[in-house]
Amino acid sequence: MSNVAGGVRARLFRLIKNTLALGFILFFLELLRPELFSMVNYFVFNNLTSDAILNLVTLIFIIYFGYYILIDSKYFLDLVSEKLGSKETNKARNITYDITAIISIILASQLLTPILSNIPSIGSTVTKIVNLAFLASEFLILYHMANQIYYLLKQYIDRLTYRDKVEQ
Amino acid sequence: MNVINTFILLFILILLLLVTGRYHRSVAALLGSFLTILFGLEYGLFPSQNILNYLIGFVDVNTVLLVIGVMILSEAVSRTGFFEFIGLSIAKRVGGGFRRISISFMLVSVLFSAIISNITAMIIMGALTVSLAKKYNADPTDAILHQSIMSNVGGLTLMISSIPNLIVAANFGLNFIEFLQVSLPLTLILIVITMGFLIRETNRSVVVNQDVHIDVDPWSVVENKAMFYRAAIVFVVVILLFVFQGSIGIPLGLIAIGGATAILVLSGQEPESIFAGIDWGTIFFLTSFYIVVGGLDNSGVLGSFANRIVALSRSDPSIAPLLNVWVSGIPSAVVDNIPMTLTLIPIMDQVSAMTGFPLKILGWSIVFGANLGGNLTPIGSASNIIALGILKRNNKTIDWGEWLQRFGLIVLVQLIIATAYIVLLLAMS
Repeated sequence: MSNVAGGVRARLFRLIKNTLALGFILFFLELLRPELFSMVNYFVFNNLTSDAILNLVTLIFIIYFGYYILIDSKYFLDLVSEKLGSKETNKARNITYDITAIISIILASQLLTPILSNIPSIGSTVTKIVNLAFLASEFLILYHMANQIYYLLKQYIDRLTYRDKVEQ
Repeated sequence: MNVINTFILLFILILLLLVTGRYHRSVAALLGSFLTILFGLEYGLFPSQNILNYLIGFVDVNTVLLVIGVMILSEAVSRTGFFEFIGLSIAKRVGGGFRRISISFMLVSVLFSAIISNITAMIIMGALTVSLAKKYNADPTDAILHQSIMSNVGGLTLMISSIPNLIVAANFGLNFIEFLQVSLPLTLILIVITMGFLIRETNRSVVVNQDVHIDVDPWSVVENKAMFYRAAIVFVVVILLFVFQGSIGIPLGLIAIGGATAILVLSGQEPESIFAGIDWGTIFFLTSFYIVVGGLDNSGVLGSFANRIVALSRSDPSIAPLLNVWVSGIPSAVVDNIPMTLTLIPIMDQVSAMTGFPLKILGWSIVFGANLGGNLTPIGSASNIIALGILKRNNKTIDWGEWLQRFGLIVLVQLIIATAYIVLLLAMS
């Protein structure tokens, strides 16, 4: 098993685990919200509402699990972004490909939305899911494009600073 | 998103696919036409019944036949060794050093690309130049690059010189004689100025100038003299028919396809081998792009562009053709000049209908811009790409920076001269 495959497996497992854990905790806290309301207001502080306490606890959990989720998501984004540009080394060309892909996605969503929404009973749900998938892909490509622009500018700035150093 | 924005996005998508060259241009145009049909049906722009008959109405059959006919003709004639024969005869007659031959070959490139496609012209000239350079022990880089630049200048000479010329001629009713009267003088002016610039540029580089006697017999490239003569006669007759097309009244497409049939019957060459040499990708591209343009027209995109141009030129109507030279020229540096021409034609049709501006002058501005703009970048025209390919096989590479540095200025000068020429045409009309 290569290092990349091992890394992918471990991170994927951790990403799923953390996402499920966060989802379960948020669901549990939402269930707890009405019970906590009577408890906190009655026993502890007069000026501390149950909503504030619950929001604080929720925030702590989101920060804790969200940090790991973000780190793992970034790892996968970088991996996909690397794969997207693996065949093409020219950054400007990669950016053009990304713009092409974004336009294609917008057009695909434009074309599919009326068709999918006409499916009886599940039409609107399917449309929402497909549009969400399109949106996610657009974000991914935008991230890749931003990466390419960063490296393109970096290359340019590095070249300029190198020239300045040589001239000095 | 409304229908106009959707079709603008679709058009940008096709242009990006053409610019990146990720897919063959015919594939990009086929994809574009397919999406146009889907969106056209979705927005109710096209009728769902008899859609194919409706779509065929978008394709200009006269232009497509003209392009196919001219391609078959030039392919059949070039297979007889006609153009190599001319090239070698000129080289032998000019004699002297490699530099002298290079200069004469610039003119030959103009001549060839005026008669045959600039791809064929560049392949023939490139092969001749490389083989002569070996004899002279000279570097063929400059000669090949200059021939590429000159062959794009030659592309605006005659009605049959390039596909944009054929399209504009078929759509705006420009005939062969009008090309001789209007386009040829500009070509001559551009030849003098461009050659002056290129010769000066060659002076700066190192040129091996040896006096070598060329002992190659030009007839050695002709395999079958009977075939050679027959093909040359049919070619000349077709050119004459193009010249007198105005008085004969036969559509250009019919003359071209008739000539192609005649050459297939008389030249004695295997038709399959001639068909194999035809650039079918361009034909697919052309027909598919007609559907894309039809979609743009039906969706109102072209109308809104035409309205903008009319609004811009309200104060001074001459702005439209002057703008046209640059609007067709600059994008032609990165995008194929055929889509630019096909897109601009219906826009100019509408501009002319709205303003009463002479359609032919608008047509000339498209011809000048579309042909000359290709010189601006290494990928701007097929001849540039072929030239770079020939140089790469000889272990020479030219990047965009070097190309722009060497030829950017002369292309801008060419476009400025073309703009001034349009002003002159306007003053005379």
